[in-house]
Amino acid sequence: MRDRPARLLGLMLALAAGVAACSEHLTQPGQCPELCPGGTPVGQEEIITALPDNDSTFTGYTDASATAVMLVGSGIPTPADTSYGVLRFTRPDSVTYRDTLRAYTVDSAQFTLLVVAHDTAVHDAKIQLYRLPSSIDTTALAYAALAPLFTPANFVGEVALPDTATADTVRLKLTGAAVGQIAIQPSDFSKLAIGIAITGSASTGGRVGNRLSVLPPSLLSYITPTAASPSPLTIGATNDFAGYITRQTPAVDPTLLTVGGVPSSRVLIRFPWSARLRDSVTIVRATLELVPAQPTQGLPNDAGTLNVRGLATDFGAKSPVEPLSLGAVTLPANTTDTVRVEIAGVLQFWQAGLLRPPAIFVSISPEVETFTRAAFGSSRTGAAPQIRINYLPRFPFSSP
Amino acid sequence: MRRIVLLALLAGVPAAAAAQSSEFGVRGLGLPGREQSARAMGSAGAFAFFDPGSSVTPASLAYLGSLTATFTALGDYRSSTDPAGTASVRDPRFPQFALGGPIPRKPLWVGLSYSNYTTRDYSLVFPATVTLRGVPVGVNDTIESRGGINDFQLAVAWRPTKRLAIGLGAHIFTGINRLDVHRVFSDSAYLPSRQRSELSYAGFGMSLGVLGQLTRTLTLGLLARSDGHVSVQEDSLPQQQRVDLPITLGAALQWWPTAKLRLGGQVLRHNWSSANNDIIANGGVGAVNTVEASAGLELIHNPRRPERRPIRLGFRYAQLPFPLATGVTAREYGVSLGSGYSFAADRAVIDFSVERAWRRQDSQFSEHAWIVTAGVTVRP
Repeated sequence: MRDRPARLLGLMLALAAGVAACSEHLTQPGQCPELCPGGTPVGQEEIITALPDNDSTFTGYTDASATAVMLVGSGIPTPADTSYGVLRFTRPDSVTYRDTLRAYTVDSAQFTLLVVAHDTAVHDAKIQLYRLPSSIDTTALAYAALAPLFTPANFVGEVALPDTATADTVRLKLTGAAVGQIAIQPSDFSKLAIGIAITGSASTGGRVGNRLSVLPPSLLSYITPTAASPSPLTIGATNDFAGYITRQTPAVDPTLLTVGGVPSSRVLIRFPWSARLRDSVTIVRATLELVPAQPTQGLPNDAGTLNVRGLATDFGAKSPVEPLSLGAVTLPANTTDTVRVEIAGVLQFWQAGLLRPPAIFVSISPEVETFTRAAFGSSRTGAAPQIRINYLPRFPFSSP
Repeated sequence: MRRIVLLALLAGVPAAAAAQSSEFGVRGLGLPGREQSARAMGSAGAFAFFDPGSSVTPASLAYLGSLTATFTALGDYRSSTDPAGTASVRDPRFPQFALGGPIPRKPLWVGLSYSNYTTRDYSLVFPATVTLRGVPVGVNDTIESRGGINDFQLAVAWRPTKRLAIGLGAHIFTGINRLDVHRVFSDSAYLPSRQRSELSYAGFGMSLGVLGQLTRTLTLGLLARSDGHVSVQEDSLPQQQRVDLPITLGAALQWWPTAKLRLGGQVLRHNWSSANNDIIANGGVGAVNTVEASAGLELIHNPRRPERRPIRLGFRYAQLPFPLATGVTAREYGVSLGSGYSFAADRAVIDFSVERAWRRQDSQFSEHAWIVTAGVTVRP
């Protein structure tokens, strides 16, 4: 019995030593060169330039019919540009009232449009609506045929865009004599065509939602049926077309690398990729450098985004992109500075283990839904695209 | 209850062996292990030649009365100083496992042990500023290492007379060293980087030990050991490095002036300089020959039960083989105190020791540590 306390003490000491030792903390400040076997990582920089004639523009991936907005502009993206939106509604010429199909008179009406974005730096920006012939051929819109119709005689009304928000829902209410501007005659076959223009204190533009947007254009009419002691009614109009037409569609220069525009253009660039970069280095930064061949086009304060994606496999213009590799940068209008996009995440897919092809697709987003368009130098003209890579070579682990 | 405690202790012992870490284990092959049990550590290794739970000499197996297993756990609480600063670190390790026993009706003993040979456990942080693209950028580098070389010994001891024991050991050196270098940048435009590698070691050595009882109270131990060389392979790369390992010569003396007092000491010399050229050729600083010596005593409470509540004291001096810079030598001093407790009719023993160690290389690099060692010996 006398040994029991000592025995317990011994056991407790042993247990305490075991338990107390079960945590590890080894970090301490280091001092080179004494405590640096192999030294410290030494970063290096290398620039790779696009392979000659392996950088091309491809156009036609997406056209205006696939977009959810109408690009309406005045002097945007270039001073020579004007773009008009075109809407067409179908409103019945009679309504069922008291179990009888009756004619009606329109007391007032309201157009509702979603302005997805506009340049808030331009004051007095207004959305203007014009009456267009109901017989307009929406399958073959031509700027030359439409532009003369945007005259005071066809003016329906306008609504100011707020300077405080880039996006807003705008409503144009028509009452009294103004309702006559949207009167539908029997010769119109229940069709009402409306043109959309935008004005401001300076060149400006806006992106207006179309039938695919979250808030499609609408026309609501407040009517009185032709009947004894009628009650007012509200009827809607079916929006069966919403598109836009632009004065000029710029041609794509095959010697440059063009992104954006409608229909959309993308650029495919292939780069040389050495075995050393593929297998033996850790990439810490990679910057794609594109030099604009001309000032970038676009709506000020509503910049598009320049996207850079790696390829999953290289099938040329129809190559699928690697969904997880993405570099992006906002591309402002009227810039001539070198555009730099951080794409280290893209280049890591080119390395051992993943081995995606050393090529990228460059595009603008939202594709065909922005005024942004840019043309960059290529391996044929101007400054060729290049990637500035910072990397760490393989650390000499076996150095004792 | 005792069995439960024992089982709990044994369950916490992992398979891998490693010794305490040190900033003096950053270079070369790392910090050499001692291959000693908690019992030997209690007197700073003064009686390691005569401790069958240690792996210093294969001849010590002859002291085993029955099949015996010894497990050793170690906790290292260290404060390290270098010109970049001082840090308190700690790490748990399991540096020694030994199993052995006599062959019935023959003057032979066999044993195997798994010991730490060298340790490269460290984690170093290097804040710095580098110029990237013409702009100064803050970086924080961390270099981490875990692992080292282990010594798997298969030994046999022969006792031709009552006063003489001869041991022969075969040593297989294995081990893995996992290294990790990562860098983070103060500029978020730069991605953090991480590189990993694994060094694997393989080698073979032999040892010959003799224990001779000179008088009734005086025993002499001698050791000669050649560790050959170790091959170092990085990941799965085809080329291998070769690093020569030392030849070790050692001697120890044990004296019983009374039945309750034991005095002893040992000296070991390792010609680590044989690795010097290989290490320099691979970009290292080099290696130097080392001497380690220890002296100690053991006061026994009850001579009939010597493992119950002894008091062990010891002092240790050692040179470290892998200096942090050329032309200097790192040294280590230690003072130990230990005891133990046997129970279950002496079939189980718990030993523990506490050592205060100091290591220093010139005036810039130093560290001091508390090394707590606990061991369990089981004789089923």
